[in-house]
Amino acid sequence: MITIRHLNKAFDTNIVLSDINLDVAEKEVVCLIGASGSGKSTLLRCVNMLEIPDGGQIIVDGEEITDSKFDINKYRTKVGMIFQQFNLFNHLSVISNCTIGQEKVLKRSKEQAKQIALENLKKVGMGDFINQSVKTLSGGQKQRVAIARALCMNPKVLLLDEPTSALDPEMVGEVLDVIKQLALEGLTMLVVTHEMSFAKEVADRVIFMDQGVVCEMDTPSNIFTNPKNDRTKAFLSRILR
Amino acid sequence: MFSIGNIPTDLLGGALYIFQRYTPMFIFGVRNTLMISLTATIIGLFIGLLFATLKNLRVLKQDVFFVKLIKYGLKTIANVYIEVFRGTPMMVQAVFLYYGLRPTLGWSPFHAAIVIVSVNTGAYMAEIIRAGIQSLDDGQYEAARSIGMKHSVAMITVILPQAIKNSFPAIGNEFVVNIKDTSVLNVIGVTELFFQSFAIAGNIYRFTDTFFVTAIIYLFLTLTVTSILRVIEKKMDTPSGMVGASSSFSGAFKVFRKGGTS
Repeated sequence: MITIRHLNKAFDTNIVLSDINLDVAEKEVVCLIGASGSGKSTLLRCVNMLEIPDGGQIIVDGEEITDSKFDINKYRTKVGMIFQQFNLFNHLSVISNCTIGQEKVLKRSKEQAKQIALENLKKVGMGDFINQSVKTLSGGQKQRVAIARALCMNPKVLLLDEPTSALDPEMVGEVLDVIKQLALEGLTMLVVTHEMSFAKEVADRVIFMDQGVVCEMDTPSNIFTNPKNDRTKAFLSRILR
Repeated sequence: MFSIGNIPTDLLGGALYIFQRYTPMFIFGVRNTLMISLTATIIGLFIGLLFATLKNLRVLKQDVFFVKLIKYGLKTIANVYIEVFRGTPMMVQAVFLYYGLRPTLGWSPFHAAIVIVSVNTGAYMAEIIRAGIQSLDDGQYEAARSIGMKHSVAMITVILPQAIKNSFPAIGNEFVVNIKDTSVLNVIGVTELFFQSFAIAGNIYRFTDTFFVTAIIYLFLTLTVTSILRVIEKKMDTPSGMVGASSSFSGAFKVFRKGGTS
């Protein structure tokens, strides 16, 4: 589904990603872990071309998205992105957040867009809030609406960039439950997370990154119980006390 | 035709007399002042939206050379327009444009007035909207792009509506400013409130009394408009730090004001 080959990215002289190689199969859930500044988020943003790679290839669903002639806007509808800070459209209601992309990008009719938005909002448990302003929602509710907004575009892949890091602890669960449900339904996901228990439970594979390189890539049980790389060991011993 | 001796000599008495006697002339002036300032503020807002968008164009590393060239060109045009119209007095712009373009366009002072105030306001609006855009979190734009919106669609449906909403107090303030600043248009013979007052005063040789009336009318107009704007601001739920900025007296907001004409 996603194939990344020799991906490089630098901000000015600061090398953020160096020679990343990674494959994500269809319906696979891959969690990216690592200290902040290790390049996890940048890698994720490269897959959506919010950051333009300096070199290397990213092939998604058989198309080389790093090709300069590639239609990025059409591609982005197939790849949903969930942000740490939710980034809901603050001037719109809950339902309009979910319909605006369908109407303006996918050119669906108002009725159809509304129906799809309702289905997805119900799925994330926000069916009772459709006409509220997003400003009145709690963090957990906002993130669930953001997930519904991404789902409305019928993505083949969902990219989640620390989806629970900006949430109060009591709201983390409700968002993770939604993500788990999506994983069970077979949506391909690439998740940057600091929630190790979530990674253990949901991920098919866990990738540990440090200083812009993939240090270790294995099943969650191997990574968490039997890490091979020294840097992985050091990181996990700091995280899991 | 009239006798000057009939006018009461004290300020209040004289002002009341002048107001009663010349009511239709004042009303005509008020009508033109309001028509010019309202129309020009609205047109100026659209000009501002366009130029703020141009000034905010992002030149990206991956753009081909030709696209980069166009983007830099448009940004430069926007910058020159904004700096020129904010950096010269509207009175000078009025005389220069009205007489300069009259042979080609053959326009009336009234039409010229609307164009001049629109173009002048547009430059200020562009800066207001640009500040409104920059006050938004980058995530809004990224989120719009991440669901597949093109730059233009993201601007129109996500960024500009929020930028307008957030800077509504400053936008409304421009209307209040324009009500007052249209007075400089008397220089090209637009029959707005100042021009009418000057005609009345010249007619009866009573400048102080007449302009006392004029001042009160201007004050009435600006206070009315300001309170209407306040109500709209509350309804629109503008971010709390910005509420109340659309006051004709707000000292803090003078940075956005036009130079020297208040």
